[in-house]
Amino acid sequence: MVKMNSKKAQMKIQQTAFMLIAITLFFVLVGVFFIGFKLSSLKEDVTSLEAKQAKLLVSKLANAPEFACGSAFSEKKSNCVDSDKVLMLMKDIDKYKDFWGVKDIKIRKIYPKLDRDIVCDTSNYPNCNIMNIIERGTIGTYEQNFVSLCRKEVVGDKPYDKCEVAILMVSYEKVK
Amino acid sequence: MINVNKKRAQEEMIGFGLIIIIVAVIMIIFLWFYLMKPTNQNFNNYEAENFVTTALQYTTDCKEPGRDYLDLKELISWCYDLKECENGNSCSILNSTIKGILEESWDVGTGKRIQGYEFKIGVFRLEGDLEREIFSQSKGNLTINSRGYIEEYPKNRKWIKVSFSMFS
Repeated sequence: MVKMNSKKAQMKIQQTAFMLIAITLFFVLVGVFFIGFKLSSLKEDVTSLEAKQAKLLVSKLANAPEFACGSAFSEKKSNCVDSDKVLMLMKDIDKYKDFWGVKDIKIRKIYPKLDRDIVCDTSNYPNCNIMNIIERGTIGTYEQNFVSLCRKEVVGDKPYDKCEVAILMVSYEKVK
Repeated sequence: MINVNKKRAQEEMIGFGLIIIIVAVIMIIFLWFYLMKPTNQNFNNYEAENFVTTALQYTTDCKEPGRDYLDLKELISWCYDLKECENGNSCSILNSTIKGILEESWDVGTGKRIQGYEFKIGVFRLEGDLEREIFSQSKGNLTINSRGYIEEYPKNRKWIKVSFSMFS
């Protein structure tokens, strides 16, 4: 009788042990599934954070001192980029390459439209429509914002403010 | 004896079932939180606001006699007052300028990020009723899902309202 009870107890212990192993395995599987799920969304989170940063940057960049029209123009303008200033900045851009923490920054004039794309430099300015401010040649995704691209023009001997419609583009790299 | 064993086995089955239900509930809660995470909007109001602000600052081809070229904001007032530019009719220049800006700025259509837009300029009395529509243009599919921006500024005890709506 004692022997039979002891065998039953052993069976019971074995049963409990198997049950515990099964539950542990079940939780481990759930954990593995959850971690895998989280890791896959982590890359998406990094990309969306970079996109958010680019979006924030693109909205404040036009008002940064390196770009903004400031008081050089007759009336205070918001979202206004001084293209003369940007052209000078482009000549000395190496000092600013990592300042904003993004891959590319460019300005594309959209109205009035030119017949073809012409990248701006000191020889063709202002008869051009693309200002590559920071260019690393990376393939990324752009966040963009409408800005007024203003410069000083002269009619006769009188200077006046000439503002055109442009988009300021900031690119960030997508995490693969 | 068999009955007692059967009962115990049933209890164990119920216990195991309960554990599975608890785990399933936890997983559903995690999934729900994940799915309820706010998704990125395709476009925001600031895009419309920046567009209107930028368009209003655009230097038009309308030359004020003996003075500078007018920006779009000034040209709207000029058109409302039926004043002539040195080089043409102010309202014609206003129309062609806005049409050009809209055409080059927005690529609309089915399957695109923005399906349509509507741009309006009107002069409103202080009571809020429309006195005169200066410009109105819409393009594409004007769906129920819209966002936009209205810029208003005073003009001779009236309000000039420039509104832009994007439809997705």
